[in-house]
Amino acid sequence: MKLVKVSIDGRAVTVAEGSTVLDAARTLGIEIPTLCHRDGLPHYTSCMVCAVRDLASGRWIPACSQPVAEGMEIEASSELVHRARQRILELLLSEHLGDCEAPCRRACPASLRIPEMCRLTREGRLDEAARLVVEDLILPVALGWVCPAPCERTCRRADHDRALAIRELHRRLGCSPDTAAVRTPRWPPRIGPTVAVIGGGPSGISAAVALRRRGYAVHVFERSSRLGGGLWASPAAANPKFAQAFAAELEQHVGVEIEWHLNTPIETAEELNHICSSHAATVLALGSIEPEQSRAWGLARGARGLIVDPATRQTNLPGVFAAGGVVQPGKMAVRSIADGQRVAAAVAGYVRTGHPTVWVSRFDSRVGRLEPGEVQQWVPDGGPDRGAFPGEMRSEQLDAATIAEAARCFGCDCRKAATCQLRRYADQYGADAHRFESPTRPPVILRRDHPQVVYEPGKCIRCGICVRIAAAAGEPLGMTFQGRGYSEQVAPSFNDGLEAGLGRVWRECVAACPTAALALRDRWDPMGPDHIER
Amino acid sequence: MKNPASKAPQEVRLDEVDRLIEQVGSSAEHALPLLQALQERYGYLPEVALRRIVERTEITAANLWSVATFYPQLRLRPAGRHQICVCVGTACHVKGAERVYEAVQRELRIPEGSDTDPDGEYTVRKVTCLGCCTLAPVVMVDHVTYGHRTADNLRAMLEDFARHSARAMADPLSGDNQSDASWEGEVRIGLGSCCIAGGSARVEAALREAIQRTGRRIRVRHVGCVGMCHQTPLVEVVTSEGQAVRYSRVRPDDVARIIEAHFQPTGVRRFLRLAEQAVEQVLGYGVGGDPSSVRQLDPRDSQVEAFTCRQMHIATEYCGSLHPLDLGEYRRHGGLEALRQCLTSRTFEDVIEEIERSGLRGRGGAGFPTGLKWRRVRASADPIRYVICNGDEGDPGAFMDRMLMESYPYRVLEGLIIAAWAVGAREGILYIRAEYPLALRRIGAAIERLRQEGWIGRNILGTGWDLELRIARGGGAFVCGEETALIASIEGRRGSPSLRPPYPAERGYRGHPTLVNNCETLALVPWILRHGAEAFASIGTPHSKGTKVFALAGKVARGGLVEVPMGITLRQIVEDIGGGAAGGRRWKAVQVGGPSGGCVPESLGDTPVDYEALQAVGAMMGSGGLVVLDEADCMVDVARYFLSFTARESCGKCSPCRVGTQRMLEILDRLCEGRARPDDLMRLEEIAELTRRHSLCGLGRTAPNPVLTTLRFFRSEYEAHLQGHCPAGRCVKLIRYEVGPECIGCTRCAQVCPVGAIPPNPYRPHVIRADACVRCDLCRTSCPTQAIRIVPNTNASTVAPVQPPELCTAEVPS
Repeated sequence: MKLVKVSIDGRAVTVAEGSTVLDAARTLGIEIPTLCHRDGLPHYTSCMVCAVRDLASGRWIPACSQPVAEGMEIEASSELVHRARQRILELLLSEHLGDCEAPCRRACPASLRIPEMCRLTREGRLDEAARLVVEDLILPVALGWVCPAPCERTCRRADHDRALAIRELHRRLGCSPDTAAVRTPRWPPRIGPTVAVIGGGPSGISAAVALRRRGYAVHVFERSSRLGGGLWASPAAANPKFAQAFAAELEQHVGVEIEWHLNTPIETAEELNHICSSHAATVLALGSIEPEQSRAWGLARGARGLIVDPATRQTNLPGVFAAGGVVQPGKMAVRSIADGQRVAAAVAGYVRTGHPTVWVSRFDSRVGRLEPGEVQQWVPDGGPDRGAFPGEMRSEQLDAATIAEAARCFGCDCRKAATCQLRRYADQYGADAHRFESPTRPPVILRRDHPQVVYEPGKCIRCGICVRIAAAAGEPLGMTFQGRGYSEQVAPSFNDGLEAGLGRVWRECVAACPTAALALRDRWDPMGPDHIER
Repeated sequence: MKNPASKAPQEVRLDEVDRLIEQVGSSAEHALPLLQALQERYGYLPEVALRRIVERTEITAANLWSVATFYPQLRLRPAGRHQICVCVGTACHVKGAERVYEAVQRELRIPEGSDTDPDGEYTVRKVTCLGCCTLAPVVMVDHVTYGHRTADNLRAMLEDFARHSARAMADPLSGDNQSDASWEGEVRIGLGSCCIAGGSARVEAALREAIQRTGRRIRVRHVGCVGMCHQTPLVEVVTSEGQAVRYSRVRPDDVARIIEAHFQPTGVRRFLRLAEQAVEQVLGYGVGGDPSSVRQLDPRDSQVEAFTCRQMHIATEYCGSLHPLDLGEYRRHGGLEALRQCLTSRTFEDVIEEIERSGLRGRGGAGFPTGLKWRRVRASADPIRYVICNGDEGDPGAFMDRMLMESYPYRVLEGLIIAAWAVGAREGILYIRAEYPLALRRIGAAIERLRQEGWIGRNILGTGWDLELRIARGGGAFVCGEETALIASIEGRRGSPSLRPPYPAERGYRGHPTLVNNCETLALVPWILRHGAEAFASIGTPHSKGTKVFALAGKVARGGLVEVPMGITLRQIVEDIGGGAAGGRRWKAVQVGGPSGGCVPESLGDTPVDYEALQAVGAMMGSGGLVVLDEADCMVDVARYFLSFTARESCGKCSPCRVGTQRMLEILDRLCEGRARPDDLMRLEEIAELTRRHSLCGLGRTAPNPVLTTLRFFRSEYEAHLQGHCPAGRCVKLIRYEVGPECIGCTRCAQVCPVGAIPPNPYRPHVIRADACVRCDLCRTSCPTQAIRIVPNTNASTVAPVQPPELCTAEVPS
């Protein structure tokens, strides 16, 4: 076997003749992104995200199929290469038609995993569903009373019949006696130092719980005699049942795990300094702050609230963070809850390394407004509508009607939101889906002419992996490229049914598809966080 | 899409499909020829027939379906009885092909979203280029080509077609010219596609009749393309004294007078005629005829001299005097001599070395050294090798390969046979566009003739070397000009390129080393070997040797096919040979190299024709289209035109090209419609750069050139479009038509308006209803007082009129 010596990013490597640049890079442990490449299948060289640069000629070459040549010098990790890949991904994304996240989750400030909540409920996995709502919302019952439910306004189902009763679902999951056992959290051991949270409203509770979940001890200082802060300002809170439900919910978070100091106002600079010096970090979750107060504490304040670094929510004082209404006065409790969780992430990083963690939203492709009739594409994924869901706030039961309501969810989030390679690279390379945005988009299509598989042509990147798998397996009909140019599509030959096209290799094709163009009809990835902490 | 309007599909009989399979072949490689045969039989590809093919051949369903949906020539739904192809090549585009296309649709009342008229009579489609650029705009009805179409002479065309539709497509070319000393004179008539489209076949019939009437022994000789396509049909009269007189734009009615002028009985009448002729020549008229129709071209005429004097004929040697298929004549002019020498007294090593020394580089566009390519194939250890002649000339605005194959088929074949011999191949393929029926026929006839004479086949000239040549018909995909795509197409797959390396010279057709050379490259080979490498290398620039054939078209006074020495400047070609822009306008730029090339502004007109020099200005030699643009051409529109071409022709395989060309096109569309955003120019440049760097093949890598060059040299026009203004008054969304005070109320415009946007108002000034106007330009071109003007489409009424586009001259074939 003849050997060839090449260098990648200045590191020399010797590989067998006939190897590709990608093979050589792998030997060196250098990661090169690929979408259309699949080991064991012939090269197709279509996506071009594996772009690397040949230093001698300055030419860009696709690493996945370019054979190595003696003395080749390759640049595979520079800023230039990173940018090139980013742009190529952006071209692919400009024709990518699909929602990574469901519109409802996007609308929820706390990113409640609504479709997953519905799927778990529908499947009768109520414990898991309840754990999920507590994890994401911290106070799913209280929010079930006071939240204006922006999620329901974006529900795709509203285009068809009526929006899903999301708020009622998370409320019931949060208070049903059926799920009480799992709702009592199992806290991780306290490993970190103690963090102070000033304020016991939604953002304070949220920050405290989120920090405790991360393993930090938390002291909460609340000036009044009860927790809840702004939650009590909601008209719904006037209902005596609210007080009862909220109290029951708080039970889960109170106790030895978090020290709640009620009737403990922090007012003077000395008091603040004392707290700061005795805790690893301090979170200001006061709901609001007067200009005199912030001046006294030496905090920078803008027109509406404290000035913080938007990425970390750290104030001008190192180690002092702010969340909720104190930064931006607002009415939505769920926003304060979300803010508390974000600040907890930043604080955790600060306490651990001295640098607050930066919270970056994950890449999220969007379909946007639907054209008339398009909603029909999702209808087969949602259960039938059995008329109006029984009145809210009445029940704590996860009865058949509740489960039927959850089953109405279309599941319009991406089936492969967590495993999609395109999304993964879009995050890794910081791609912007709008840079090369097209003025027009094709219609949303979910092909269902296969009992197990759903095919979304709008998510297809024309990598031809399924075409090659079917061809290699000798499928009599097979998948193929239909048409050409921008309108080229991957389709079953003769545009026959998907079932005939994918033949016996449907499972393999679905697994190999780098996006969710081919996905299992009834299987969604477990939903991951919609952000990355850096 | 269902088309209820078209005729009921013919019943497809499976035994007939089986017979076709038997005739064509059943291996995987026969996918495209089988589909072409089906399409010819049924006018489309009936699905039941396709399924039958999968059943009865080695072709897989996946491959057959992907091929059937790849080539624009193939269609999956029934078509009308006749096909109308509206050429939208570059030259036609700048002369208003879009308007012609829209007018055809209107004329035939084709419903929106369909391509066939309600009676199922005609199916209309756009085609890239019919290669008759000097007759632009061109429309082909079945196999009959009509030049100089405008919105108002389409009905005449359809009537003409209906009258002659029985006429089968036949090459009017007769067999070999008989050499017989007893002829009293001869009449030569050019029979290239342009000439035929210009009406030369009917001129010939009239010639024969007129000659018969004289009762004298005058022979009619067919010759190939003369190159002066702007003057077609051309007739050259050679008397027994050897005196030659050439007539241009001859019509059948003129023929009798021409013949009489040269060949007539002795006597008093002869003197009378001569006197008459002298007077007419002084007046600059044709022989006793209508001044507009026929003109005698005197070689001393400065125009003709200018057209010919800078040219140098190597690939087109004996231009205008060789009968395309007369092998004897070809041999008398030195043809096959180079091949004979190779086979009898030269070594392949010596021949490859000679080609290397000549400095010959590929004429297909990229300019790879030909000798080096030959050497690489020769050096392969694999004993099975192939040669391919690339005749898939898909560039809009280029037709030199078509002309070479039509007029000099033996020369192309001789070059190919020499190449095959030099690299040690035993099989050769000519891949020729299906849109070139005449080239296909003549190359086919020439192969047969050479086979009869023992130049192709087994044991050629007793050397023990065998060579088989065959033709593969292209499917109308531009990308198949790329060598890996071309090979994929011949192998029966989609014409999608693949990454090089491996180069075809290492692993090509059927996995064996394959030499792919362009037609023109091969046509130069015999001359080089006959005259020696030094003779060839003495022509041209240090790195670009010999000559290059260009198709000169667009807004030029004298368009045609020209062969010029390398190193000549673009200005010399456009101004000296082409006579500058037509109608006394200034030429603004010349588009070199088609969709891969760029627009070179007049200010850089002194750029020499040289691979590197053209690249330095952002253009490219390409395959040799030269389209002259004048002040009435909008450079943004030109860029958009090319992008719409490359976006349509992109195979769709690699994402930078598939998506990048589409995104660029969308931005250019916005610009031309006045909807562009301020950062669009920046975005356009960014995508252009991305597509250029990362595309898989040459198509994508060069597709941004027209955008990048126009952005570089005509940025102000882009900026004007950002403001919603088209300086050339070309972009229809940015202009409107206005009637000026010159209007005499003749109602002519109201009569020609196809959409009734001008209410007739006799003897009163007319008004154009802007909301109904489709900007077809018919009113303006038909107004006898030039009262109709193009003005920017703004509400302000004080804006100055903009330069109107050039008037298209209308010529209806008789």
